[in-house]
Amino acid sequence: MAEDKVVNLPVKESLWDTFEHILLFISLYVFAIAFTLMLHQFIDGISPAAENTNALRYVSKYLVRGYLASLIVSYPLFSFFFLRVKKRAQKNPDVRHLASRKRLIYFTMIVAFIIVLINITSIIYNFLSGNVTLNFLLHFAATVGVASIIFAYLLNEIKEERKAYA
Amino acid sequence: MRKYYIFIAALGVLTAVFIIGGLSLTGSPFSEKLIKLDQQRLNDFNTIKYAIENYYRDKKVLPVNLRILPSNIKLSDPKSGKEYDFAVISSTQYKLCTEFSADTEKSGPERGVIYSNSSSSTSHRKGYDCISYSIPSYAMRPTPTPYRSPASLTMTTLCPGSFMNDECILPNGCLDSDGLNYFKRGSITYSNPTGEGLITLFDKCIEGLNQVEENYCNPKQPEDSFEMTGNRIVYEPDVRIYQCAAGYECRNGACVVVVTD
Repeated sequence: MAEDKVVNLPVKESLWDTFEHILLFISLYVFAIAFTLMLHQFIDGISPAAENTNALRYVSKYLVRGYLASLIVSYPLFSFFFLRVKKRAQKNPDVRHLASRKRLIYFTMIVAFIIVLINITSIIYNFLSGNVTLNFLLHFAATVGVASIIFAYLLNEIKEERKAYA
Repeated sequence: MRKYYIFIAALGVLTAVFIIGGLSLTGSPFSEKLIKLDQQRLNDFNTIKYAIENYYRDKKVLPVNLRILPSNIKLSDPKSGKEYDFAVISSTQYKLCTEFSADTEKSGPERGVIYSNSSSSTSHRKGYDCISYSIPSYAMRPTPTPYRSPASLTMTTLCPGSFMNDECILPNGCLDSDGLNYFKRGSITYSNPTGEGLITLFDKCIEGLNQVEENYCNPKQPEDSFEMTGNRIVYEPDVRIYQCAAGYECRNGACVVVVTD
């Protein structure tokens, strides 16, 4: 089992790496959410929702400004922590087996899975009630696309680790 | 490590595209600032417009200048600080002018925000421009239809005040069912100043505009009331126009929450 291979880092280092990982995942959440919501705004800009739908979907300048601000702040933070963590993992492969890192990865995967699940359920529900429009499909593709990419990337990380230490 | 750098660079390019796309949706921060200034001017114009309508309702003429309007009204441009120009066009028409920062096309209203409830256009060009307004018909005080009770017998049941010598006397000259409550259709009842009987006026909506015409009993000036009735306050019928807030619409004489099915 991969868990058996977990190497205990010295306490100080372990805490520091945990801290960096938490910051990395927080910036990932903010970035991914802002990115997806921004994508939704573009979709509404390109293919506006039909007038008769109940969804209050329209391009809101106020929301776009908020997402812009979040992207501008979270992108550099995410890049910085992502590259730092990768560098540290290369230097010290034990970092990859930090328990807190694994917890964060699994937690994020669970959340991404729930998002995909809810979206697929909603598209089937809407399909059954005959409400599927191009706008709706694009929104679905945006959310599921981003969540799936994150899910697939993290799954790949875990798989590689399991392979390396199997 | 190289692939991670490439990934971050690609993500950076995508983010930059999003930021540029986002800015094209919202407009650049610099032009937004100018649009905000114009919105402030239009809001000021709207406040002035209401003040002029109230003035007109009282005096039946347009004011000669803006300074005679209530002092809490902002009369100067938010940027230059110069007083807005006011010019009378006809007995019921006037215009307000100032230096605008942008053309209207660029500062078109965003969805869900009400800028102007005036029936007149608020479009303007960049630079010195004027917006014309006219006194709407509702500002000319309506002539009430007198309501006369058919017989004194039924009058006892209809009289909201005390019944004395075949005459219904209202305690303060005017009775209001709801006060200044714009969210309820109330009515006022007052003695007919030009004849017998009582007049009842119900709150009503102004057609085409999202405004409620709220009838209420306005206390008279203290010195007048002292002269006329000792120290008793006398109320007289008055009307106030209230603009229903966003999310409300005027229906059956009251501002009610907009219901979307």
